[in-house]
Amino acid sequence: MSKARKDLLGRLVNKLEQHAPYADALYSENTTRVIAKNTAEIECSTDADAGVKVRAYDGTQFHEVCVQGWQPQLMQAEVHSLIERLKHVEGKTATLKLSKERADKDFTVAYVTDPATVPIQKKFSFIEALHAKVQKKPFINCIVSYREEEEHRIFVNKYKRLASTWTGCTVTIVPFVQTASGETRSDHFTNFRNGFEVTDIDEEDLKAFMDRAAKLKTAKKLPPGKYTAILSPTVTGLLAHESFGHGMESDTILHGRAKAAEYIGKKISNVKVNICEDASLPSTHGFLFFDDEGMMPKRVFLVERGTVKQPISEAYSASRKSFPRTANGRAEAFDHKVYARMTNTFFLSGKDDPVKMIKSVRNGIYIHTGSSGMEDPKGWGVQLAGLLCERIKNGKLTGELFYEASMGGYLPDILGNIKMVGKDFEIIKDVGFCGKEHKEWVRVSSGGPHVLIREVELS
Amino acid sequence: MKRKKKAVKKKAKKTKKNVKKTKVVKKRVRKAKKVVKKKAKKKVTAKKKVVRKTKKKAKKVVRKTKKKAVKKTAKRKAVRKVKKKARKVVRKVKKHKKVTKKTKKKTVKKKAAKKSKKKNVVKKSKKSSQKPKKKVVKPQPTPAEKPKPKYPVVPLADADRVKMLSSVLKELVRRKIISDWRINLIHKRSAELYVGTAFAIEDTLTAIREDVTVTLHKRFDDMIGEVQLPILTEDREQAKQQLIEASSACEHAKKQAYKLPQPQEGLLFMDGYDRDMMESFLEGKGLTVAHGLYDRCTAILKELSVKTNCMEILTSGLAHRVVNSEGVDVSWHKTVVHLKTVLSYEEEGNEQEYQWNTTVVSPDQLNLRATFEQQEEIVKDAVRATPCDEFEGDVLLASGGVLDFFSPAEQHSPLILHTFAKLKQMQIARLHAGESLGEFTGEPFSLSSNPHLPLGLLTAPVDEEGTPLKPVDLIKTGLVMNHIAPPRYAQYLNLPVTGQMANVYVGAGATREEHLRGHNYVEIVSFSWFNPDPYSGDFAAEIRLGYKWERGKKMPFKGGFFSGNVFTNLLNTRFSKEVMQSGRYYGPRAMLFKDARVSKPK
Repeated sequence: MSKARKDLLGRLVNKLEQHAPYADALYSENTTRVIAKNTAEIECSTDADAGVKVRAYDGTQFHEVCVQGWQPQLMQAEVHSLIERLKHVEGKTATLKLSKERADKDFTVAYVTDPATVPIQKKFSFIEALHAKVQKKPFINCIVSYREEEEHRIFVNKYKRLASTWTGCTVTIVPFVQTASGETRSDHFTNFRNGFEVTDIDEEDLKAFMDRAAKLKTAKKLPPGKYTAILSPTVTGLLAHESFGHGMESDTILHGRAKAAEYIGKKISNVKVNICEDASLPSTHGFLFFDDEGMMPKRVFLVERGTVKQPISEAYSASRKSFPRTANGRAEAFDHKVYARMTNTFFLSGKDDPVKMIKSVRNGIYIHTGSSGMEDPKGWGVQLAGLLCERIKNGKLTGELFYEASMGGYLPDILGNIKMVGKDFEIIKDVGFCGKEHKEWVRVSSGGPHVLIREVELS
Repeated sequence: MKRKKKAVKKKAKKTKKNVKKTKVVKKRVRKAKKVVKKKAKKKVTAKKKVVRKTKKKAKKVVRKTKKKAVKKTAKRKAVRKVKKKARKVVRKVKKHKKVTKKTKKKTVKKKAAKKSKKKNVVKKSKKSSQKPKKKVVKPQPTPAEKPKPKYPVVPLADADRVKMLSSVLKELVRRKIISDWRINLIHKRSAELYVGTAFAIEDTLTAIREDVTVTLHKRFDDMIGEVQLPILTEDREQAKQQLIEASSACEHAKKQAYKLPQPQEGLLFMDGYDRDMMESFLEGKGLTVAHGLYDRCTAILKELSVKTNCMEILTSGLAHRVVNSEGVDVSWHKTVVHLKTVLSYEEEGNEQEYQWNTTVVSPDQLNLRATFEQQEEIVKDAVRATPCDEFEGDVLLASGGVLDFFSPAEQHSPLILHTFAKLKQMQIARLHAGESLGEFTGEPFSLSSNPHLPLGLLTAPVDEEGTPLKPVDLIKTGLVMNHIAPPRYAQYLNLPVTGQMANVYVGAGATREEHLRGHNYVEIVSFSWFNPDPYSGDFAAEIRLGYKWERGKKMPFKGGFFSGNVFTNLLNTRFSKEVMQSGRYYGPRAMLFKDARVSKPK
């Protein structure tokens, strides 16, 4: 199947390259199945999308035609119309930065249990049993869901013929409590693996989460101020993603929208800080065998020992700005443009013991989780929202929770105030989707160790 | 003649029996008498004796029936009407002498039966209307009596896949693999331009997409199994196999049974799309729309004293179609224009940008010159902005800020989310019909779902389930009136069916914006991200640009957080008289929170 499709895409690319300096084709097929239960009902739905994107670069710009599904005749017709358009373009010179390494490979992700081989009844039974386990007082409701993602991709250009199959399974628990004033509050727990082994949930982790969620009922609002804060691996990852990820996207830099461009090669924080982007990290939600432009991933240092290094890139902006190419050219779906996007973004672990880190804080805040964040690459402002915090007093977690806090500030200040970086590291349980200004959603992950920051703005 | 007389006698006797059963049958009796009368009169001269006898008998029958009718109805007018109708019937009978007696009887019986049905129903409803506690029983026409309304299928929505899937699904119903189904089709043609610095086009993209989603239902006594799946294939056998496999999950996803939407007369097809633009997409000339908008934008932007960093022009023409097993088959068009511009300005080494995103139905809805000139001013102010100060008092949101509050880009406002019957069913809803939002110290506001907003982004005749959409008051002067209830949750919770949420319609305030502004207040121009917690309504949004107004002078600032709670802050808010429409929002252009808080971390 994959060979026949590679051949047809190859023929289309060859046709286009008779009229343009460069062409490539990408077939992508995504299927997501969700089983979700709450006290009121159980739901089962599937979402799927598939299509082909064929594009040609005329030396100045890309021209793309996209067709849903696998419709060879329609694809050929669209390519023909594209050729007609290209005939009117003058001065076609190739200036694209491409990986010229030849490859013809098929990749498949590794898992313990292939979710496709598990009967649907077993998946329903798992959700029913897990819901029965967590739906207890004081929770007024609890959403338990099992999500299965399957992705097939084929990329063809003059150098490469690549195909990949990837699966990811996620279990999510969202318990709800109601405060005395009638306010509804929630928290979330996620577990991610590539196969059905995702259902092996660590009992201790789950118990700790449910105990914390039960306390949300009495959680207070955090008084605004500057605090010494310890970020859990989840929140550290969120900070890495929002602060340096978006600000180091080459297309953002190309449009003069990122302050990071002024800092490349310059020191921004102490040497303890290392922020990386790596799509090749196995068992992660942001894992890729190759990006949507056929680039194979490898680790990229955004910040190395406190110094801003290189941006993440896609072909067009990397060529224009002479940046090195990285495997970050990604599109939401077959009918979307390729942008420079993150995959797995994280802080590298340091040498500090997380337990000692907490003990070192007299009066501060431990941030357990965050729901979302927003970047401001030009102003380099950061906003992390939906933070669940706990007060630290005299080196101990007090159990006093603060709900729905936000963290903000100027990025160089925040990074400059990082004083300790933990020796622990966690990434695989954190699952997320990243949008580029409210659209273009792609699967990502983030993480890192515990991190201690002084003078951080919380509200 | 003797035969005729006998027939008349028989008729008379039959009518007597029928009179006792129903009133309407009485009419038929009277008709028969009249027939007898008239016929008898004509024959009097020839055979007086026979006539006299028949007259006497007929008169007796008439008297008896009259007496009974008068006694039972006690309405002389009604009797006269009945007589008139009977005469008419007699005339008709005369005209159709050639028709056999049997056929005559049948037609009369049919008419009488129909009339009796109607009268009975009317009387029942009249009786029920006298007792307000009981529900009015509306006539339920059977499919045989009343043809289902048919709407024209719009171009691009007549996919062969719908025909193929309908026939497969009907077959599955016949084989009792499923009991009900629904097909949703969205055909989309897009044309997009991505523009970089110096207005250079970096990417031109055209796409054809057709999303087909099937929802399967299978009955298990009073429960129903429901599964939703997309169908990508065009192959009948492959699709059938996928549907059969998916139907097996119905057994595990059971819920309380509910009825699918039925076809209905009088759907309102408002202008939810730009006709010229749609025509361009139908002709395969979508890129001309995108290029037209590019030309309009660049002509204005080139005149400004600020730099355009990038621009995205995304245009599309869509055809929606909903078909279900109950006979619903509705389709409609939609056009969408998404425009993003990023402008920047530099002064003394300090460069700032301002990003503007808007999504509308028609390019004609974009007031480009005024918008870009306003952005030019904003981005210049961003450069001059000073760090935020702590502030407690009046906080004003205008245009973009109001949209963020009531109609954020990616999700529903918590205010709207909590009117959803689904949340009520899950027992996590904060708002309940009949309850007030709280004690208002500000202006109690009204909020509704409006599917008929001309050129509204969510303007549609039906929702994705095929439920006819109508304007629904969700909150009226601070009181929760209704819940957003698709058929399923409406039936579970015994609520009126509203369909899904359409355009957000907020009632205009009582104060003009200039008076709302007052003297000393903070105006928030843009947030980093206004992203309240969907369940609690709590928010703490970083301010990207704001103005502190003091005695008519504005001082730009940035940073700090506007924090509060959507539900509680609205209790002390006033709204402008001036309204605006943008995307799926129609309502006040500005809103003023009293005693609100902008915090500066200490």
